[in-house]
Amino acid sequence: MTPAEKVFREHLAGAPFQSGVDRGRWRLVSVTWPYAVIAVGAAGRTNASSEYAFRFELRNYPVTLPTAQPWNEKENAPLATSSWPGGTGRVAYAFNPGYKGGSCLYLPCDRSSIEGHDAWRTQHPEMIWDPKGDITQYLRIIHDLLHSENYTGLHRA
Amino acid sequence: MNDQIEIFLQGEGIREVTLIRVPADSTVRELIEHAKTQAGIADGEEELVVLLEDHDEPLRLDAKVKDVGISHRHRIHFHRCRQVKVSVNFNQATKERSFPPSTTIKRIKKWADDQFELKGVDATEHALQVCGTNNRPDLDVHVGTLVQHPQCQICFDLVPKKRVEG
Repeated sequence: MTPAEKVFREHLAGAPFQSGVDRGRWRLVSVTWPYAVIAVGAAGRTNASSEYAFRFELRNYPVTLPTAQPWNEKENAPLATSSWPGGTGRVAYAFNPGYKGGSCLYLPCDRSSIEGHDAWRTQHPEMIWDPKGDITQYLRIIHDLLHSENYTGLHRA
Repeated sequence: MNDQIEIFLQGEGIREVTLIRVPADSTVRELIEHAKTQAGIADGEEELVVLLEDHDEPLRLDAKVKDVGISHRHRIHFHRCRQVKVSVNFNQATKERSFPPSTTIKRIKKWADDQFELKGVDATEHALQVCGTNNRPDLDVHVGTLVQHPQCQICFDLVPKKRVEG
């Protein structure tokens, strides 16, 4: 087990992650290092899932920030565009399957997305990854988006 | 063998929620001792109040935890402040109210939304941010974790959640 995986597994057992599990905010699906699949709860919407799985790529965690994409838990494959979370405003921007082929979320806490977006560090300091923190800082942002009134259910291509 | 239960702990000087293990038949006073050992809360038992999350009444120190409704994975708060005076600024207006330190940011946000008549998308698209900082505490956070006795007060701005673009 790499030091990064060891730290990640310690964080999974830690109070911040377990607190979210206990409240039904998220749940661990699997860890196959350097990947972890975690399902995040969503507000109820007609014909939409009550949760969405995301696959996090976690190499050199937590020094290096993760990148995550919506994931089909049953097929163990990227989630079809039509099944992504959809909505308006900041929800539509964050869950954008057209950005980098749907390989990441358009968020400042995502390693792939922050590349070339240095201005986000000052525009969105509350969403910048803190290497002293844990995976819940990313999960909380997803959970908040999935409980926004701007979240309307499944993405409409 | 004594059954153990896990308790989620927040409080003064505890930066992040902490999980401690205690015997199920502990008293509240013994819970404090376990919290000192496992979570590093400061001495000063005589000044501490122990509260259930989002509850107003301090727990009696000699009561058994099971007799005051504490069971596995319940949420407890330790603090020397009995109340935290909260002020929230929005649109050049300020609303104030005191809350027990065990009050979640979720509950305070709901109160602030009601005070400023924010509903639906207007409510979900605003967050509480500690005045003069970039700190937007998670909805799970107890307000007491943000203050240190004897400064039993805190100020928030109600700020819009900006879309990420560019």
